[in-house]
Amino acid sequence: MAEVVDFKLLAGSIENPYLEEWKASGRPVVGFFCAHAPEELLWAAGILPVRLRGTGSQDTSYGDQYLGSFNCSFVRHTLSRVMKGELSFLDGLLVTNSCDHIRRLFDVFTAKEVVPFNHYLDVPHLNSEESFARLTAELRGLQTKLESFFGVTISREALSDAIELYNRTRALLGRASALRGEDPPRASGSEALALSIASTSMPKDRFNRLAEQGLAELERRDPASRSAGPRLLVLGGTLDQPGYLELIESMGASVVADQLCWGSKSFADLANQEIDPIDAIARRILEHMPCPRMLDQYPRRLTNLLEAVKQYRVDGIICERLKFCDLWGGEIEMLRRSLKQESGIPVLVLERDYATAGGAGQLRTRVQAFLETLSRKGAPQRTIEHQGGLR
Amino acid sequence: MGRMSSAPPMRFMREKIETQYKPALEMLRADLIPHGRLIAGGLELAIAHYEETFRAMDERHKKLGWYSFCLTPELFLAMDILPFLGESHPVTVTRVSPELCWEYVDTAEAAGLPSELCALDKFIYGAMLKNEMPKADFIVTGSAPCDSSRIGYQMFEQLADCPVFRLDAPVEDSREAHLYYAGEIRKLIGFLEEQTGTLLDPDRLREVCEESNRATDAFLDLFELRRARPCPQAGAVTAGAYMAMVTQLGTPELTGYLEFLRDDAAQAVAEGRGAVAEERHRVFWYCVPVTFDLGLHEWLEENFRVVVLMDQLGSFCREDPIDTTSLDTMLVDLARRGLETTMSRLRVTADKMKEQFLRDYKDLRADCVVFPAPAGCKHAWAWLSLLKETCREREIPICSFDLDWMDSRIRSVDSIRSAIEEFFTTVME
Repeated sequence: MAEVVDFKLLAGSIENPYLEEWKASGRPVVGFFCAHAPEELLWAAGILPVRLRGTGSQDTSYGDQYLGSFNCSFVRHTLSRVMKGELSFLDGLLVTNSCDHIRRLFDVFTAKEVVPFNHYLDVPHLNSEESFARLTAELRGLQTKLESFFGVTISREALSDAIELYNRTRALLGRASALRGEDPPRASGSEALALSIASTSMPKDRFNRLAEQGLAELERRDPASRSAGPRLLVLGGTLDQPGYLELIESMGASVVADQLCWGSKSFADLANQEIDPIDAIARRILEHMPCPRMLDQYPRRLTNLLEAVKQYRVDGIICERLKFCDLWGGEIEMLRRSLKQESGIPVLVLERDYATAGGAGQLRTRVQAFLETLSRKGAPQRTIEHQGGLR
Repeated sequence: MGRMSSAPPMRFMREKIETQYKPALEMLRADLIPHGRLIAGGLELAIAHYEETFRAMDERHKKLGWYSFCLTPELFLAMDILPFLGESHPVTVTRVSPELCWEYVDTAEAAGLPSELCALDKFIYGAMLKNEMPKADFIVTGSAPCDSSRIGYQMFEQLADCPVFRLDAPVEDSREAHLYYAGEIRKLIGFLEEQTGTLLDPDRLREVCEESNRATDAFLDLFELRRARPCPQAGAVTAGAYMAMVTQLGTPELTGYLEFLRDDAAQAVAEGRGAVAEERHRVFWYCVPVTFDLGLHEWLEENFRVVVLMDQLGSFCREDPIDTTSLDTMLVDLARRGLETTMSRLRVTADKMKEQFLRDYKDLRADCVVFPAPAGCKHAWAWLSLLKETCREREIPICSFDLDWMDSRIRSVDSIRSAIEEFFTTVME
């Protein structure tokens, strides 16, 4: 009998039965923070990589002991959970220099010795042959350290298997993404995001089996039963709350595409299974749907966005960013300028704090006004119909 | 995307040079301002540099290369390119005209930039929109030090009408990191050759590097002399010397100025003469200066008999000389210097920063630390607590407060001085 899984529930917490089961079997767990982390390398070492976040955090008091109020709330909430010992399943931490807020966590983890294994991975900010060579050296250094610390051997075969497994996850998430992009959509944007988030804190082999079932349910949905509404693309940094998209969709819009770092940015583009596995991991880190941290990729980011707007027949774009996120703050301004020139598509910019329950009213008002603007420009309106399927 | 105006670039700055900077220079030369005789040389270099920049834009007699805190200027000088450090301009302007900083910051924020970006980047963006940044032939930037500059230079590129070259700066502070960055600089040379139409002459680079080494030697001597008790020169002198260093390393004019300062300091030490009468406290000023409070050093000196020995900006200059044996050795050492420039050094881990902090604090024979934590600097805010712990463990008194180091509307001069006063009248009393 098929296991019934509530992916939205899974997405609502890092802790879950699959993680507990993994821990209970005595196998190690390493936390990481960003889509630029080499998850496959950890998996090949017999380690469960879990993408960390502050979900469940009630306040930032512990994080505030080490980070200032000008550091972003995602990082302060997450650090609070770590410092409170709430993420006690962690055997190690892998920090990448994704942004200044995240990279400085490494300093706190080191100074406070919060976990036995702590590694800083210096991911280049340019995509070049030289930076590729540097990243592969970094990855080989990490491989050696993992082998030594955890007493394992990471074989080429294990790495290839890990890449295949992770590519399968990416493909499944891509399928979910395509379903919400249909016209009318068979899946909602919040469902697709929940699936993506759920995949980050459980073993991928288990996830893939469960996701197959969930997707099959979605694919059985009758698309004709969903009337058309304004089709939105949401982009931005850390958004690990499907409820945020759910609220937007509850007002009659469909989030048909995203460029979020917990969404498409995390699963777009597969690793090459035909080349050396470390090379493949490095290539994907440098080349997959780029983040604003990559200095030389703005033209590609803009092209990706314009292509998505065209492919998914997007009526409007919502840009969300966490307060104090410099990278997305600048990126959104650049995109707004470019879009004004190149497409004229309406854009709504939303700034938010992480994990605050408040703000829903304000969000509703602003989105409502935006949707009205879109409808004046001719975007369709629709009523919401709740359906069964992916939970 | 082009600039917003077709008027000659930096019109306001051209006017300021004539109406404000040159008269100020005369006052300094006449020693009508405290320590004026010593500071004058730095301002003189700055004025000459601006005039040369205006000339390069107007007459196009040489290429104007805008670079960021990821390089020192020797390579540009060797290729007869006029180097312009983008980050130095906001500091220079704000020192004399804080209200201009407000105008540019407001312009940037009105255009959509988030208020919490570093004021330096907001200033530059706003100034670009106002046509008050140089019209460069190209821009060279790197991936250090911070998110604000990483996204900032991508935004500047959107406004600029020129090619941009980027260097990837590794986090590590190691031989391997220097070699990698030297490779990045080697690629930069190809870009510069393309832009200028001339090939780099290694012998000319050697000459510039040797000149740079002479300046560094003088600066290191100066550093040693500042360890004397009483400290022979005021903090304002060091701050001015620093600005000259980052923009003009490799020029004989800079070397001459630093040698002048060194000789003056040596004489003062020999005579037992201090910059502050009856020196009481010796501050290691960590992090950024308060750019809009030109009278801060004097106020500290007069009210608390405090001398600012060095700030974190200036201490980067404690660097080994460039090995001029070959092009390869020069590039590796230029890489090391580029990575160790003021802000780029923030790329390293807290352990490394702590090591450098404790080294400088001890070597300078400081007895307290002032740490102004700028609102836009996420590094500073993530590092301050660990620094305070380090200070507590070693019983180093530390005064920290928040501010925007360029925008006095965020925290006023009075409020900043009040925080410092409280420290010196309680903790240090």
